[in-house]
Parts: sequence; structure tokens; C-alpha cells
Amino acid sequence: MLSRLPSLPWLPPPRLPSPSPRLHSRSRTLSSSPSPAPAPPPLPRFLPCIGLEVHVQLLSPSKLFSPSPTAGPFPGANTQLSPFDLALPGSLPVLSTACVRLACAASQALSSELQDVSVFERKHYFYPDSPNGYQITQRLRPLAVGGALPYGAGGGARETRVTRVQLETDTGKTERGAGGTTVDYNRTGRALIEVVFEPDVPSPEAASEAVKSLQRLLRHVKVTDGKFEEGSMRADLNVSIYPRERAAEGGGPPPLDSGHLGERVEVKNVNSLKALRSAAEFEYKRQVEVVEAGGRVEQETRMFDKKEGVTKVMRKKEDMLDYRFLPEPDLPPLVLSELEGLDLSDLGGGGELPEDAKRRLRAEHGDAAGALVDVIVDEGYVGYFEEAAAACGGGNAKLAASYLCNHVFALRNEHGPRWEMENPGAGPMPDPVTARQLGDVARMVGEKKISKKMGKDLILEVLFREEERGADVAEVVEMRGMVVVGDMGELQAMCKEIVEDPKWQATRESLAAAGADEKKRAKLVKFFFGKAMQKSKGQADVSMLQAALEKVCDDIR
Amino acid sequence: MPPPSSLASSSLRKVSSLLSSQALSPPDLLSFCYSRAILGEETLALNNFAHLNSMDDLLPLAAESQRRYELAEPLSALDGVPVAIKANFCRTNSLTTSASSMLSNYRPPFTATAVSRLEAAGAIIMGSTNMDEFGMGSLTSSSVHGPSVSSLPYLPHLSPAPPSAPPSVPRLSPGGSSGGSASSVALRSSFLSLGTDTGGSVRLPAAFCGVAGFKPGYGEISRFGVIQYASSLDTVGVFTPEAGDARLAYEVLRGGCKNDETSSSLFPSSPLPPPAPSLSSVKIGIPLAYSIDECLPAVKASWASAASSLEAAGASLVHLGDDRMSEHAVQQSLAAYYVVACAEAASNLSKYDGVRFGSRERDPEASFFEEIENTRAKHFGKAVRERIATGNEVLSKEGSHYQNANGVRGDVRDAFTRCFEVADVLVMPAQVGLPPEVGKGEEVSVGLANDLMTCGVSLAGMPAIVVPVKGGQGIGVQLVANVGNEGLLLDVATKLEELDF
Repeated sequence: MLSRLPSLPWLPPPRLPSPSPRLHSRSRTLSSSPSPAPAPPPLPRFLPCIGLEVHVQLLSPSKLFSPSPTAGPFPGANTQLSPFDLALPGSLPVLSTACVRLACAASQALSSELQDVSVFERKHYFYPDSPNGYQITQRLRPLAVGGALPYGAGGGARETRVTRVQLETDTGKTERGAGGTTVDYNRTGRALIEVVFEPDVPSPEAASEAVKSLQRLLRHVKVTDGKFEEGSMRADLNVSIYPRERAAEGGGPPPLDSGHLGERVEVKNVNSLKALRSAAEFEYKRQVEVVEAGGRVEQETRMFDKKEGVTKVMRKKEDMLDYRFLPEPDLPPLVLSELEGLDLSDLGGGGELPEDAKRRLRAEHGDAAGALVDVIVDEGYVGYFEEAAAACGGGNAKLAASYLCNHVFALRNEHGPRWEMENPGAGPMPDPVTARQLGDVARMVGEKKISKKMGKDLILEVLFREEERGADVAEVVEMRGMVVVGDMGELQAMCKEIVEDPKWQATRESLAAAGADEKKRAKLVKFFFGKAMQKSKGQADVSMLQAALEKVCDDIR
Repeated sequence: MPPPSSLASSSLRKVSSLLSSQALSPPDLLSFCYSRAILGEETLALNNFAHLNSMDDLLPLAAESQRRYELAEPLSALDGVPVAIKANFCRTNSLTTSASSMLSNYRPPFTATAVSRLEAAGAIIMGSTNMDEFGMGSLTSSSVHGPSVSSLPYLPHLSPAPPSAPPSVPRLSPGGSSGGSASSVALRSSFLSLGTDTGGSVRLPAAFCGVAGFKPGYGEISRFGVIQYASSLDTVGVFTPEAGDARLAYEVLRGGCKNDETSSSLFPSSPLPPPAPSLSSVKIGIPLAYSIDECLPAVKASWASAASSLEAAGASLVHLGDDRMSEHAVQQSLAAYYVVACAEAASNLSKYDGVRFGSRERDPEASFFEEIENTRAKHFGKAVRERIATGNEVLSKEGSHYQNANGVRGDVRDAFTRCFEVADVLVMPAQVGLPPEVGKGEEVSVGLANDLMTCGVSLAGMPAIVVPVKGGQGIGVQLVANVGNEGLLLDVATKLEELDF
């Protein structure tokens, strides 16, 4: 069944005379060779409807209700604790404004409407990694309601509607080992937002696309590092099915209140994009099988087993936990307009969505930087790039973009993890070169004061070094005597020396013989160009060197 | 040094001024209070202290205080004053049991704001006082340390010389849940003590022990470091020998702190208004709905006497009828109080699983959940278990009970607010009956009935003070003011106390 799913199931079904599978197969058996045109696969009778609930860990310096630091890696388990993290008697929660700010930025990015008043509630359950015996969350009055997340190819081809964005606390980590069960409370109380979406995603592929888009969006506004593998992003999903003929007008699942959606099944423990897709696919297939066998899908919570690729029952409807919600009496309602130190007009990330940022940067710096712009935006370097572009002058922005994507990111990826290991608690490694330095390098290359090769070397070998961090690029260039050779006479003399080198006599003669065979000639000139570049050690201005070499080669002809 | 007999009947103000004039030294005052504490605990077996600090630890503090007085640099009017704190106030590395087996060996790593403010003011912490387990009770009878006994009936028998054997008087309950703190001040083993009042836990014991018990409005004193019972009702309060003393303590304790988001945002607080010269401009309201049949004649008589004394002193009386405070609101307040208190208690006490702190029933054979169950079954007392069960029950009904109770809570607050449209301070009883003998009056109905007079004020979050009626019967009169009117409340209480009522 799955393999026959149309690749874009959200498109309205083509109006084809659809023979029943039985008729279809009989006609195939009866039909004789020569082979008929392959018949289209039968359309599925039921389509999936998927709703997402994504937990996102906020990149805040401290926990949601305590001052414990959050930047790892930590020296060990249970090292990042305040009295409230352990629920010590008499300790009280104190709301972190930084966390609220990040949650607001995320809500804005999702065009979710911030609520001036939201209320924290306690959700009760006993578990070793939940020290209070409850999680502090928002239920009746969340931080933000409504909104939409665009996703899919071409930037926002579709969208899934946001129901709500709520602030809540994370749990600790329970580990079962040979010596018994241990609990690490370092993560306890870290700030999460839960983004709840409407059940309107029409396929497993789309669900995976949507979560990927959410990841990019929230990284872009610097709300989270969004790492599934480290648990800073976690997705739950709910899946139901509906008969194809009940699809909404224009395709996609019918509305929740239409009565055409089957019972919703929640699937937990989905901790990668791949798992998300597999879990949704399995669950869709399972529900269709249940219904086609004449059964009923039951409302329940299931767990995804990654190894087996199946979902398994975790809780039946009648066993659903009673969370005994209680408005958090240790915290007054959160009133955004009265929260000291929170400026909603300055939420960072400019509130600009990635697609908008890409469009704008392309418009400002030309389509030439197109692919690079995508990388820069997805990596969350918009501000950095703009600062560099301002320092290098408009004409050199593309070069700055190229240095950024090729060399700065390479340095970051190569050295970042080790730096973070060696500097616990200090957060991510500072950028290998500052935006200003990058801009200056690109500008000097543009002004032909240094060569492109020198620019690259400066970034990779010089500016990244501890003593040169943040140093003035012009000074570094001068101190190191890096000068581009831009004197035509000097360059021509150098080229002549190479071309006339007895080592290359054969090549020189071929060149002389090439005559009007431009193709052959170009190939030979290119050979000499490489030699000339080597000899100049990258100090030559490339276009002048090219011109000088052409002149020398012309003389030979 | 003044003779012990005079200290035994001194007010906090008197002691503070003696210290200030150096007519009394902090070590001498400490010795007096300590001897009273030993008398109470050992000879009289009052069981008012859960833990009494040793003289070896206390004397150096008194000596430091003395040096400050000699340099004329006392830290506050409370410098060198022996104070007692209820066993639910955290103090770094000190046993803080909340009178529960669950916390029998618990030593917190931080100090409650109220306690640290007292310490910063130079007060000397004598020890922690007995209480009902987690504050749940009104007789100080449900403590893991055993029941407390009121010092009040013994007071006439302690002078001129302290007895070597307990005189034969009735062993009465000090009220609860802050019974140890109230009884300690009555005995003068401290001149100031901290209590907590969730539904009357400062006011009832004040009445039963014949001392003043002041509970400011909700959030006026930080709850940080106070072991929670019901967070939206819990209020730090003080016991002092006289109502006129409460202001000294309140000046030191009041004002929110950043560790308690539900505490007043007035920090630093605006100063309390100075006392008014007379009562002539004060309108005293009498909420008639509190005149219930169950209330003893002696209690009603004190109430009436207080009202007429205030009137005679120049205040005008306003009788508040059903249109302002209805009998229905009074009756409903009790039910609403129990729903809210139990729901929040059940939630607040879910952290006690024995995993990170507190007592734990270890059993390698048991699962995590079995171990928690065993721990909670063994180390929570009966009253606590009952309240948790009730709380879980009212919360599990899809919130309807709890929501309804909060609706009633709003109605009660509205009723008090209507009263304050025409009155400045309300006068009403603090109790329904007299202190029962220890071991009696354990029936739930007795505790409930007494809460009737106090829990409405708690639901409304308003400040109240109990002024003891002279005569040693264990009766007090309750004064209530509108939110933010603590200054006026203390002023009227001080003036009432000076009247013969």
C-alpha cells in the first residue's frame, strides 16, 4: 500500500476512472501480450492525517525557573542544580525573562499571536526524573495561539497551522544500568516550548518536511540549536485516517470537526526526522489495515520502536493518565506587558522568517550569491553576514559569502566540538574570525591589495589564531608583508622566465605550433598559468597575471 | 537586670527599649528566655520546641549583640531579642522537620527570607517550634514530635519562683498549627516567634495562648524557604506578647523578595503610616454573619465588649448585614477553603518521594513506584494522608471542584471588599470555642468549626490580627483590614489592647 502512495498525496486526486483492484487484476490476467501500457496503481481508499507536537529546548543561559546554567557539556551528572531543580521544600520557581523572550521570538516566527496574559499550570505525575511530582506547563492559557508554519519545496509550498505555543519545563534523565536506576537532574527544569499543530499534515513526507522547516526556522531566529540527536528537539505526532472522498476541498485532510477523521492515535518516542516519517508511515498503514479488516481504530497512545520500525501500544484510552491540572499557585500569571526586562519590539532575529531573509539578501547582493545565501540563512548567520557585507562594500559581498560558507564554517565545524569540550559551560565556540575581519579581508581582495589565495590563508591560518582574534586585518597584512604583486612589468618578467625555462621547452614549442588552434593554445596557456601561480606563491593579482602571461605567450606565437 | 518576674510579663517593646538603654543585656535576656524554655520543655513538658539550640551556640550571638549595643550600633529594634521559628521555616544546616517523619533528618541548604531578615536584624534564633505536621491541623496535635501543650494555664503559677514540679492545671491545647510558637511567646521563652497562617494557623493559637498573632496580607512577607502547605493561602505571621509589638517585627519582615514571585512587589516597601492620634475617624465594621449559633457565649461576649470599647474610645461602629457579608458566604468559605487547601497540599506534597531528600523506605525488591508508596504511607501522618487523598480527589474531577471553590473564593473576597466600602477595620471572633484539653477535640468537626472564623480572611488574602482578651481564658478578638492596610490594622489593634475590654 505504501509503495503505491502517490508522491504528492496532498494534490487533489486525478479524476481517473478507477477500476476496483479486483477487476483490474483480472483484466491483467486476461489480457494477452503484447504487453499493455502499465495500469496506474489503484488509489488508496484512506489517506493519513497527521498532527505534530514538537518540544523545543530553548537556548537560554539558565533554566526556566532557576538560575542553574544550561550550557554544556557538564563536568558530570547532577552538577547543574539549584534548590528548585531538586524540588527542595521551601524552594520556589522564579521565571527567567530570557526564556520568555526566546519563547516570544519563536512564537513571532510562527506568526503565533502572543497573549499578554498566560498562566502556568501544574501537570501531575510521579516519575523519578520529575522531582516536584509535576511539570510546570501552560494549558488553558498558553503563551501564544494560532499561526502557521510554511514548509515544503520552493519555500512555503504548504503550511501547517499552529494551535498554540506553550512554555514548560523539561525533565531529568533516567538511566537504567547494571547497578540500578540513576537520575541526572541537570536537564530538569530546562526551558522548553511545546509547539502544538493542527492535525492538517497530509502525509508522512510532509510531516518530516514540516518538522525540518520548523527546525530551520527556530535555528534562524536563534531560539534553539534544534538537534534531534541531542534531544533539543523532540516530536510527537498523532495520526488518523480519513476516506479519500472526504478530503477537504483542494485536497488535504478534512477539518477536525467534520466528523470524517478517524480516532486519533498518538505516537511518542520519535527522536529523528527519519523515525518521524517511518512512525507516521507505519501508523498510517496499520490503521488502514485495521479498518480494511473491518475493525475500529482505537484512541490510544503508542510508542515507536525504532529497531523494529513499528508502533506499539503504550496506553489505552481507559488508562489515560489523569494529570490533575492545577493553576501554579507559586507563580502569578505571566503578563508580558509587565515583565521587567522584556522588550517585545526587540526579540532578536528581527522576527524575519528564513524565506524572507533569503529573498532580501538575494535582492541586496544579487542572485550570484544565491546558493550561498541559502546556506548563510539556514546556518543562522544573517546578522554576521550583513555586518561583513557592510565592512567589505557591496561589490565584494559575494566573496565574503564564499569565504564564510567555505572557510569560516569549515573552521567552526573542525574546531568547535573540541573547543566546547575544553571550555565546559562557555557555550558555542566564538566565531573563528569576526564579521568585521571577514568583511575587511574581502574588501582588501576586492581592492587588489591582497590576492584571493592570501584572503583564504588569512582566514584559515592567521586570523583564527588566538593572538590574532579580532585583530585589525590591514595591520596584520602589513605586519606580515603580504603584498600582491601588481606590477605588469614584474609579472611579465616572471612569466617570461617560466615560459622560457628549458624544462618546458617541449610545451613552449607546442604552443608556438598551436597557431590558430585556440583550444589547444588555451590548454597550454593554462598549464603555464598554473606554474606562474605557483611561482608567485599566491601573491600575484590573478587577472593581471593572466594578462601578463597572455602577452608573453602571444610573443612566442 | 530587671527581675525575672517583670520580664515574664514584659512586652517586646519593653524588652527592646531595655536593651536599647542597656538596662538589660542580650546575654541576660537570652539566659532568661533559655531558662523559661527549659522550664517549659523539662518541668512542664509542654513540648513547644521541635528543636532547641544549645546555649553554647546562642551565647556568642548574644555577646556580639551586646558589643553592638555598647558601640551604640544595634542592627535594629530586634537586636539581641530571642525569637523562635516554626519548624517549617528552612534554616541552613538546621533541622527543619515541618513536624513530619518525612523530614525527620532534613537540613536545608538555604535559609528562608523571613528568618534571614530576622538574623540580619540581630535577632537570636532559639530553635524551631512544634506544629501540626506540614501545618495541617488546628491543635498542634498531629506532629511527629508529639502534641504540644499550652503554657497559658501555667503562667500564674510560675512566680515568684519557678516550680520544680508541674502545678496541677488543665493540659490545654495551644491551638494550631503554629501552637509551639504561640505558647513559647506566652511563656516568654521567646519574645517574638514566626508562624505560618494558611487558614488561621497563627490567629487561633494566638487566641488560645493569650498572645497577639498577626498575619499580614497574602504576599506581604516572602514565603521563600517556608515549607509549603497551600501556596495560594500560606502567609508568614508573627506572635508577640502584645498587639502593640507586632509593628516592630513587621518592620523587619515586610516587603517582597525576588525569590518569591507571589510576594509583594513593594520592595523596598513604603514605610508604614504613623499611628493616628485617636480612633475618632476610624469606622469599625461588625460582620453580623459571623455571629453563628456554634459560637460560645464567652467568645461572643468578648467580641461585643471589644466593639463597644472601640466605640467608647471614639470609633464609629457599622453593622454589616447580609448585603455585605452573607451567612451563605461565611458557610461556603469553609468548604471552599478545604477544597483549595487540600488540592494545593496534595500537589505541594507530591515532591516527597524520598529520592532526593527526606526519609526513604529502601527496598531493593520493590519497584520505584512501590518504594514511593511505602515511603509516603510510612512517613506521612494520618491528617496529611487524608488531605492528600481529598486534594487528589477534588483535582481529578476534571477540575470542577477546584474551579467551583475558586469561584466561591472570589465571592468571599467580594464580600470582604463590600464590607470595606463602609468600614476601615472589621472586628470579629477569632474562634468558635475555648481551647480543648490535649487529646480531646480531635474530631474533625472541632477543627473545622474554629477555621470558620479565620479561613474567609485567608481566602480573601487580607491582613488580620488577633488581640488577646485579658483574663487568661484563651480568647482573642480578630481585627481584619483591607489589602494593604496593615498600618491602620496594627494601629487600631494597639489602641484596642490599651482599652479595658
